[in-house]
Amino acid sequence: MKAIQKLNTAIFLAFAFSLFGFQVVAQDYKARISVDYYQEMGSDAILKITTKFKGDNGYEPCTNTTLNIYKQISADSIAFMGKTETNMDGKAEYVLKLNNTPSDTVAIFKYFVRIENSDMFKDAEKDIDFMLSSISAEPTVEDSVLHIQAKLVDELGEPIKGEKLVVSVKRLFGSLVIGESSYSTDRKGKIMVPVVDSLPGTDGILTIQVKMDSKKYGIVKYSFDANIGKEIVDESTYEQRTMWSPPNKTPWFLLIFPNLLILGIWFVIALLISNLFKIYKS
Amino acid sequence: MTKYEELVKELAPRPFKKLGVLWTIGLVVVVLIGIVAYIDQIIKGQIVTNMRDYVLWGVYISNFVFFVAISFVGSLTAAILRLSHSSWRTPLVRIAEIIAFAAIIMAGVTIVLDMGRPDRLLHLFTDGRLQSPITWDVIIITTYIFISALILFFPLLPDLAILKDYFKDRPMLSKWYGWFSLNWTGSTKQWAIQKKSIQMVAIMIIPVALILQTIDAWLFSTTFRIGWDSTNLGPYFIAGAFVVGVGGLISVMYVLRYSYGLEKYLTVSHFDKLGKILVFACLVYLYFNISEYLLPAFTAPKAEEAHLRELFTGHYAPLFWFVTIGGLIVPIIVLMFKKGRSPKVLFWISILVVVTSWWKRYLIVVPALLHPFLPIQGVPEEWHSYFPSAHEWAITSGTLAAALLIITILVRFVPIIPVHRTAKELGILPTDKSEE
Amino acid sequence: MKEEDKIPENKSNRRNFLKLSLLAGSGAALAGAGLSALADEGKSGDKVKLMTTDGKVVEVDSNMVEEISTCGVPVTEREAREGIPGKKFVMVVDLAKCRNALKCQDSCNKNHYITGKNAWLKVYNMQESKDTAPYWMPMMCQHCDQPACVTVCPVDATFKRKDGIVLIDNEQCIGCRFCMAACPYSTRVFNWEDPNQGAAMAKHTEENTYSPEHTGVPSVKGTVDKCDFCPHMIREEKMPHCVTSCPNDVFLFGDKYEDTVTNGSGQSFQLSKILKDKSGYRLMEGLGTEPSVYYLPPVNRTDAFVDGLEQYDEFQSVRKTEEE
Repeated sequence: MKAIQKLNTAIFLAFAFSLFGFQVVAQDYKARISVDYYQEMGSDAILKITTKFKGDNGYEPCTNTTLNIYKQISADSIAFMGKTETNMDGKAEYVLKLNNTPSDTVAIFKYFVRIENSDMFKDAEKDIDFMLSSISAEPTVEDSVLHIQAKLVDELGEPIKGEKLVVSVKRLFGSLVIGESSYSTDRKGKIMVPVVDSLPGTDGILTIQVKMDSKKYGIVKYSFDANIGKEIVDESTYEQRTMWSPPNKTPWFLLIFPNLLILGIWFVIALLISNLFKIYKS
Repeated sequence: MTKYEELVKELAPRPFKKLGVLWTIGLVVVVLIGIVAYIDQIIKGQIVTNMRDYVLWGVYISNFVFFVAISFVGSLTAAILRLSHSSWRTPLVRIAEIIAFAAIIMAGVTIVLDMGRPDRLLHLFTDGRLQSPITWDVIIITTYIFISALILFFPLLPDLAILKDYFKDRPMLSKWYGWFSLNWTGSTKQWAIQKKSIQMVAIMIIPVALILQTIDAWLFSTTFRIGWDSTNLGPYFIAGAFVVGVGGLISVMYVLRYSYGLEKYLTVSHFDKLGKILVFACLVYLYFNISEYLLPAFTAPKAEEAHLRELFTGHYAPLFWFVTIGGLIVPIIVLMFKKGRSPKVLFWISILVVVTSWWKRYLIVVPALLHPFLPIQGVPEEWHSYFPSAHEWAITSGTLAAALLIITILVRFVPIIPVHRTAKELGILPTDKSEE
Repeated sequence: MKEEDKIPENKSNRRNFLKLSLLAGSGAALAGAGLSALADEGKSGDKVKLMTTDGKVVEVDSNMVEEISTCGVPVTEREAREGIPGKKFVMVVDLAKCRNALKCQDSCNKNHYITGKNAWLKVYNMQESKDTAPYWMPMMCQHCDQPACVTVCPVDATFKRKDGIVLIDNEQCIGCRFCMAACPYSTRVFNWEDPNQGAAMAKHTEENTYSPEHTGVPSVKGTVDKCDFCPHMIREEKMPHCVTSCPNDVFLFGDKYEDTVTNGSGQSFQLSKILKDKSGYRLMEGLGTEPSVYYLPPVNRTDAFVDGLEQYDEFQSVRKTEEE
């Protein structure tokens, strides 16, 4: 409760300062906040926040701006949960820990992200609400065709119907979509995605990702490794003796032939120089 | 004074007269200007040249190719004439060997002048890649410097011993000659070793010289560039080297004959014979020129056509026709006639051949770089063309002067006509100097 | 204001509650007691993805990574010469989308501190013949699998790595320019004079040891430079500057072994499929250099060719910035 006192003091101070005209910087810009609920299965759910404002040169990110996070805890009150700060791209993340008490109804969470008392920006707010869900997936073979089967369920384990899932393979700089751009879950919350082309992966292992981007459930992602790919074959000529190799991997013919020539010629030169010595000595 | 003593007196090196001194001072000045320009190039970088990213090689490389070329026949002629025991060769082999020696040394120097980082020269030896034609070039030039020094030095030994005796009244000079003659006494054993060594080096220099010219050509033909990427280039370079080598030899011979009054030794017949060799070399070179320029004109892909048009009728046409007519057509026509092979006419033709050969190398190097596969874009307008800058001219002139200076110094201290051999051929050798 | 700012920095602050309205004050205090478990929520420890020198991607907390301006991952000279194992980097350039915006070139010039007069990435104004349509063609080092430039290097200064990237060690280069003569794509540039790369580069080299993986840091007088495919970015799992800066997604970049290329917007495509569907080709295939850069023909273009003409300057590829 000590903290609350502190904050109250702060509010008082702020109030007092504003009364005495201490507000130094004009809060000019109107910031825009966008928030996504993002959950990667197996790790903490986070709020992904992007901010921008219309500056003199079009839209710019709000850099190093403090964002306050609040949660709606009852119909008429919200609680301050913490804060985070945007990076140079105007982006920030906030880790949620949603220890939901078991219940027989699906809970709806509502959060607020606010810019408050900023030097640069007017106060701004954006809210987000979401429900919890989870995705599971595995490779299966149906009609002798390899499929990725994924299932989407809600907080209570009931299948969710009609949400769009995207199945992709994780790649170095992004993810490569398998099959259609998205698949809708059926009555059982399932999708079946045939894997037509066999994609290459290190040791044949592919990291499959199933992702949902839904208004109701936010972004939920499940990924797993599956040994369903082609093994990568290194085609590099690095270990071979090639014309473009470093000196220690010179092709044999270029090692043997010129060196024989050099040795032969310099043997004769050495002989001739020794002849000069012989003349000198005699 | 015996006939032999007269001969020695006549052929022994003499101090320069006024003209010779002026000539030497002139060369030294040009070399010094070149050195200053080079130091400036080191400090400021090769921005002082007019080479840029498209014309990335310029007059340095063409000058280098010229030096390599002229070093070829100097010693090859000598070797062939020696091996074929042509007795008329005696008075001119040493001149040829001196030219070769001076030229190959300057070739080695010139390639360093073109390097962006000459301070890293040692990398060529410590990290050399045998796949690179430059590595081959470095190896073969080093080798050739040694061989041309040896082919010059072995036949000199008896003459140096003669000079040691001749300059008895000048002990310092005599001592130097004695030192360089390696205690030459003319013993049977020394003669045997010398004879065998000359035979060996004369045989070996032929393949080494051929390899040198070929590698020099491969510096260009191992790239994709239009105008360079040609299997014809190796023999083309050898033929060209033959021409410029003989041309250079005749020019130097004539100057020495004129300034030392050597008409007795370097006779009209020598010039006539060399004139015949030159016309033969020009004919061979003409053959390769035709196959180099005319053949592509028939099957020319677009880029090749542009390159040829540039040479035949475009920007480089005046130079191209000067080089082709002046360096090939005119010599062939003139030298067909006996009068054309008289010393004076032959001399001027040879000068023409040497000058056109120098520009010929320029035409091989530069225009090909102006026709890359992709259009030249995104670089300043002045990068679209090339003509050497003042720095490049100064440095290049410096190298040419340095080569002439090496020749001049050797001429000053070394008998240009082999004394011992000439005496022997004239049958005036004192018995104690006989090799038999 | 200042005083107020200080308060949220107090660590215990996140346990505090603020009332929705002043009137609801008492309710908030009550709720505060019940929800203190939320205290474990916190600001995300920024995770940074890095590629280790053996090609694995690890995620570490940003606190663990020392802040270095752009060269995030220091590599040994040996690693810089061998490359990232198990990868083969390729680029696809979609000519149908290029409108000569030159953002790629600007970004490349800036991030490699290019001060010369010949950029490493140039957009060519191409026209095969007078009856065919002109188009814009971005050109950079093709990172050939059978590189003519590397073949002719006498001192092992330029080299071909396992991951397909061709780099130059400018501490080894002797400046003979044979590589430039050998390259049929004319992509190599020479430092004819002291590059004079300015304070930003000087700071960069102070903080980092030299690595061929970030060409241009520094550029050295008398040595050769060229496009490096940005291995310093790849080590951080980021794509080359030209790819990410292109407003039209002209460039796609990726690992050929993964058969995937990704554009600047982050969309990925199957390489073999895109090359097949759009008739991809490589430049001067006949020379046998086996480039790592593929081009998609300029068909069904997004922009008219003339739109790029405004930006086009035949005689300039490195624009001086106003700071200089």
